[in-house]
Amino acid sequence: MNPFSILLVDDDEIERIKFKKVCNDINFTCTIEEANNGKKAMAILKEHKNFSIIVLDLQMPEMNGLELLEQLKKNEALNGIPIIIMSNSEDTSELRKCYQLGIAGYFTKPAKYSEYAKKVKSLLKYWTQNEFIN
Amino acid sequence: METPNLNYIKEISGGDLDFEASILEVLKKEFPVDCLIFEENFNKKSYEEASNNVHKIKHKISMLGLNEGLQLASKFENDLKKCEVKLYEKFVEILKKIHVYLG
Repeated sequence: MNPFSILLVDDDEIERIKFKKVCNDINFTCTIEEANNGKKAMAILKEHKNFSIIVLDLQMPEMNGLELLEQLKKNEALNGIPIIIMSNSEDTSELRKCYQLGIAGYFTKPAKYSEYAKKVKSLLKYWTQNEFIN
Repeated sequence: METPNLNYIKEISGGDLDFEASILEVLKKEFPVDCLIFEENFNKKSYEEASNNVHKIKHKISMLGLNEGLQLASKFENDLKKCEVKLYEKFVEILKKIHVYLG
């Protein structure tokens, strides 16, 4: 796996396309594995346990983001991977629970693409310590 | 009255026509399915599920530049969690507009 690898978990294909577009636009070299629900993410994580970060949506079918988060935090082999929630959930109790479980960050998806791109870039910059991302 | 448009998709694409086409392809593929699932859950009065469906659909409403539609969908999403359905017809009007636009 490449030096920086992301597991992107979101049921919305367009959201996944947007995220990859930002990475592509800034020539950010990484591998991105995709899952459209928590169950598929768990299946991927059974094979690859060394993701640099997991970017996770909350509202998804089959197994939602919170359920996946709970499973990851109980799993000793996986609970060290930083998890960043990227969601528009307005459920504050859900968000509180995420923080209690130990997420590494949370951001809402801005409606405006330029702001969204800025947030994704700062996320990548922070987690890679890559000063060339601007 | 606002109408669906490609402004937001063009903003994301930065002129990349292949990218625009790929987004439209996903919209055309997923939108009718999302709507069917929503209708099914709404008709069964599974409002919590229907609310989750609206959550997914509202991203597509936003992609097509319908800002007022997005606000209404957000309100409807929250209303459904409280089993409140008065915005159903207005929401369906937005869906119909998008169906026509996507052909």
